[in-house]
Formats: sequence, C-alpha cells, structure tokens
Amino acid sequence: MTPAGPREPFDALDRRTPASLDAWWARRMRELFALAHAELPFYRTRFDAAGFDPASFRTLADLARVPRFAKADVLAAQARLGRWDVGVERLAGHEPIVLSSSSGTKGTTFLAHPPSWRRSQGRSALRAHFWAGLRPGTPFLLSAPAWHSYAAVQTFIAEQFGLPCVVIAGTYLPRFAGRIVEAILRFRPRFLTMFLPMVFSLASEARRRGIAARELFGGIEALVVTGAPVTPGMRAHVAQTLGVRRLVEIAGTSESLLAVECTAESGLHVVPDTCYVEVLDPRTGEPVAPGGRGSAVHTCVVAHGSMYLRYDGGDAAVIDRSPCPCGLPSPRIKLLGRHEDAFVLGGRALLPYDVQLAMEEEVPELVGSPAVILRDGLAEGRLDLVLPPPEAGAPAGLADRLAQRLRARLGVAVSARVADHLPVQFKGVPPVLSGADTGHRP
Amino acid sequence: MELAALPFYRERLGRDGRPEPWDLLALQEFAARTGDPYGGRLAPGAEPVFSLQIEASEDEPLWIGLSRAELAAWSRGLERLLRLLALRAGEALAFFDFGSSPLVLLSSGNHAAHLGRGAADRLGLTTICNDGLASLVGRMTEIVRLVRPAGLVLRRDVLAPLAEALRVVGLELAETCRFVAVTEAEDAPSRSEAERYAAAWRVPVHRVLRADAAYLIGLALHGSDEFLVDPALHTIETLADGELAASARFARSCPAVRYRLGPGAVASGRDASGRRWLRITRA
Repeated sequence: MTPAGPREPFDALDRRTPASLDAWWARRMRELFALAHAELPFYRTRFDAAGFDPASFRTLADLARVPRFAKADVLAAQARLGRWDVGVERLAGHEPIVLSSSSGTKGTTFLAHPPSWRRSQGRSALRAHFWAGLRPGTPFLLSAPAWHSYAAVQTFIAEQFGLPCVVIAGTYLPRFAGRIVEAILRFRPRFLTMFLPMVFSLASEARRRGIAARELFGGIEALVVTGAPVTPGMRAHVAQTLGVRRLVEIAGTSESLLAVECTAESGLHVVPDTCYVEVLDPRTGEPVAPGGRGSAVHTCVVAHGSMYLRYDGGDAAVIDRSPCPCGLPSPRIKLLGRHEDAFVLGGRALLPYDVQLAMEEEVPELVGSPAVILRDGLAEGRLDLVLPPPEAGAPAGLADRLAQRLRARLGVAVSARVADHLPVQFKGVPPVLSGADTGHRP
Repeated sequence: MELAALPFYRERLGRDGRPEPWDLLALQEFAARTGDPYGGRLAPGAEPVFSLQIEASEDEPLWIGLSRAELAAWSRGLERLLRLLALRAGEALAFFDFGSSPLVLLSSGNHAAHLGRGAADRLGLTTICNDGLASLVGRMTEIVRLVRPAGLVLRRDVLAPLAEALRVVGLELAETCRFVAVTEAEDAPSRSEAERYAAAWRVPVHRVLRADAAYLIGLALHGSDEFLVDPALHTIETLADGELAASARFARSCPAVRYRLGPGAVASGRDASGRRWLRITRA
C-alpha cells in the first residue's frame, strides 16, 4: 500500500504520489531538453547526431532516446576547445560566476555556479538536509571544501535556516582533524555533514587527545556522511561507537546527483528538484531489472549553471521504486562504488562494498572492522585480505573463520592475515592495494 | 564599544582607557587561561552569525566572530583592494588557498554564509578556489590552462610546488595571467621572494599582509614596500616601541583594538584615482 505521504514534508513536492512525481519530472525534462537544444552547443550537437528532437519528449520512457555522456566526453571537449566551458553551461548575461571542480582521478572538469543556480540548487539541497534532520537552531560547520559545488550550497542552506556558521582554518582532511575536533567541542553542532573517511580521522584524533568518541559526537542528532557507501553493519557500528542518534547517508556528486537517506533507512531518496536517476545496464543501456546493479545515470533538473543531462558519472548503483515506509515519493538508490574499482572474482564483478558487506554478514564480530584487499591476489582470482590486530576481548581465530566463510560464500580461494597496522586511513570500504603497498606478500 | 565589558581588554586597560597593545600570543594565553574560544573578545550580547578560526592559532585555537554587517564591511574593504588590480567584469580570479582564507571567504557569497554579495561578486568576476594543498597542484595547473584566470591569489607555501608544476606541464603563466598575489597567514611574504617569482613567471607579484585577528588585509603592489590598508576599515598607530598597531573600525562583535603588526611606519596618502590609503612600511 502506498503511504499517505511523509510525516513532515518539506513542501508540496514531498506530498506527490510517485506517479505524479514522474509526470512532474517528465514535464521538467521536456523543458530542459528544449532549453539545452536551443542554448547549449554540447547538447545540440549530440541530440542532432542521435536524431533526438526535444519536442518529441513526452514521458520518462523517452529518456532512452536521449544520448548519454560521461566524464571522458567532457574532458575531450575541454581538450578540443582549450577551455573550461564546453557548452553545457547555461549562464545569464553578466552574472558573477563561481566555478567548482569535479572530484576524481580521471581529470578535472569545471562547473559553473551563477547566483540563479545557487538559489535553485540551494533550495533543493535544503530539502535534502531537511530530510536528513537539519532544523533551525544549531551551529553549522561549513565542511565542504571550497573547490566543491557543495560549498556554495552549504552557505545557502545556512542562510535560509539562519544558522550561525563555523569555519575551521584549513580544510576537511585528516591533517586538520585537530581543528575540526576543536570546533565540534567548542560549538557543539547538533547536525554535522562530513566525508565518511573524516569521521574515522576525527574519532582517531579524539582518542589521541584522550576524548571518547561518544563525548565528541554524542551531542550530534544527525551525522550526515558522504563519499563512501555505508554497509548496514558499518552504519550500526558507527552510530553505536559515536553515540549519534542518526547516521544519514547522502550520495552527492559535483555534477548534481543528489540522494538522501530517509528515516526508514531503506535507501537514499533521489532529491527530485535536483535530479532524476536511472540505473542502466552499462552494456545495453537498458534499465536494470528491479534490484539489479547497473550504472547510475542522472539528469539534473536545475536549469542554471552547468547542466548535466543523462550523465553517467561512473558509479555502480541499485534502484528501488517500491513505496517507501517514510512516504517520500521519489525512488531510492544506493551508490555502491566506482565501476573503476570493480574486480572479478569467481566470474562475478564485485566492489569493495561487497567485500565489506560479506565480512560483516559472515563474521558479525568484524562489523566496522577496516581491511585491505590485495590487488596481487585479485589478479590471480583470489581474495587476499589484510586485517588489523583483533580488538581486546575478540574471539580467537577471527581471520581464519573469515577466510573460511568467505571461501564458501564467494567460491574462490580466500586468505585473511593480520597486520600490525594498515597502511592507509580506513575509508568505510576496503581499499584495493598492492602487496608492496602493505608490506604483505600474499 | 565599552572595552571594559570584554574580559580580554578589561585586564589590559590603561589609565587612559585604552588597552595595552597585544599580539596573537597574548590572545592565545588568555584563551588558554579562560577556555574562551574567542579569547575574551566577544562583546556581551553579540551573537556572531559567522565564526572563523584564526589560521595562525594552531596550538590554542582562537576564533573571531562576525555579524552580517561586519562581514559585509570587511568584504567591501577587500573589494577596494581588488579594484587596485584592474580586474574587469567577466574575468576570472583564481585562489590556490583554503576556503577559510579571508580573501576567499570575502570574495563571494558562495564561500561565506550570511555575506550576501562578496567582493568579487560585486566586481562581476568569475572566481574559483582550489584548496591550498601542494598535493592539489595538478588541479591548479588545469585551472590555469583552462580557466585562464586574469589573476591568481596564492598561499605562500604553494608557490614552489606550483612553479614546478607549471614548468613540468610547460605552461607560461604570463600568457593568461596579469598578476599574482601572495598571502601568508598573520604575516606577509618578503619582497625579495615576490620578485623572484615575478622574474620567473614574468608577471607582477603583489604581496598581501594578513592579520586575521584584527581583520586586516593590506596589499603591497609589485615593486612597492608599502602595504595599502583601507582607512575606512582600520586605524594604524605607531607605538612608543616602534611597532605598529591596528584597530578595526567596523568590528563590534569581536573588537580588534591595538593589535600589534610588528615594527614599521605608517603614512597616509592618495592613489592616482584620489582614493585615500594608509601606507604601511614594515621594518
């Protein structure tokens, strides 16, 4: 049965039915594709080449006719044109523009944020933060790095809710953990957004100072994390270890994909006035079957600044269109990791997320435990894991038990070894490193 | 503002009703003693909408608090300095510094909540900021290559990595960029260092004097020893011991009165456009 709607809607858009929201999206996209064809050379060229006429767009099923693109296409356009703006930017006259950069290791692309973008995207992001539990009356730590588009949005959100803002000197990277800890202790925010790996850095810095993690995070009602997929076990572990009332996962990209976990914790709702998300089979481009894994392809619906329409950002995802108990109408997605981080074991494509999930499901004592996957083993069809020393009081033989259970689950050879320390800061899912990086030969 | 109401100043007030000049260390000592993150400078009843950690206060972190009006006033001061650099609407200004640098924060409302329009916004500039970490130098070369900023504002500690990266990728800064301005927290880069980079890059390299605890931003144009400071925002006095002290006219939430800038001299004068400036020469 479809729920009656969310208990505390942000606005009327939250009260739509899924079908009505689909119709709203379709109307919006029809306008956007027309604008893109009329004003943006990047899209005009691609639409024409694909024989796509925006005037023929009627329903979301018509998306299949709209050409997709990826970061490589933007990089190629930058290289060809020798400039940052590649024809996806909708800018009005002489508005001052703030540019941000994309993240990632495949090259830098640039996004334009005029004031009109900030107002539209900011309001949509305000919705996302409202879903995540942000309300007026808390100090707000501006945690987004200045190069990221989220920085412009965070400041807008703070202004709309009248939140006093706190800015640490530096940026939200581990070497500044001390300053962030200081800021949390001084200002006691009740709502905090953070790159998930930084949460581990802050907990570690608190320990170094003799402060219990629960003392540092305990006053936080909603800890919003992004930047890595959170497994159910990791969620429970982090929330319990830190003592936060609610851990909320947000999936957000510079190119305007935005999805936020709801109170039902059953996936991340697509934020409808930021984007529409499809999950497609990367080979065929067809939508995956319900529950299937594919590529997240999104269409931003903000008609200002850099517009990414049917953009494949390289993320593996699942989508769930079933009614959510929370009552929000938009589908739920889960980003599981980058396709570029996938590996094949036993004939199946896996992501580090799958290994983390398998670890916690097979050996619950290892919930929240960091690990490293050795690349050398993967090349030979084997899963070699390196684990940190067991915590005090942990049962003996956990590594052996893990290897045995994963062998049975994955159907491949598995080894699990304990190291004195892991070579990298834990990021929420196990990194794939070479044996030389870790000092451990398989 | 009654300084006696502010603990930090109360214990420094002399018979003339003025506080003893102070420096960052004195403020840190007070903060450590009292546990007050604002170092005893927050005015009674002030509710800052924006609190900024002073970058140079590493050991005992200190904060300044600002109202919307104070943010706006500080930003207008930055705008007047940027006007000296003859940037035109539509041109790009790129920062290779942290988003917490006052120059970045005050440049755009996108960077600082509650600011409204920032200095660069009002000038119609395009701005872009890359976090001031040497490890992000690759992104900065892409900014230079593709955004083609007319001006670069750089942290002093990324000068060398950026110079090397530009050399490696074969980018000539002078082909796109008309100036570089170099900043350093609670200090200013030396003229000799600026001139060395100016010679290497074949662009003027201006120097920025930052005293965040006193909300002071001064600019020494290429080849000059004088840091220009906006008299609408600050007064500068010469102390008996030969040091300069700055007081911020606009700061009410967290007043800065008689903050030591080190030895030097101050004069007043007008620029070619007739605008009046305080001119600081550091010894």
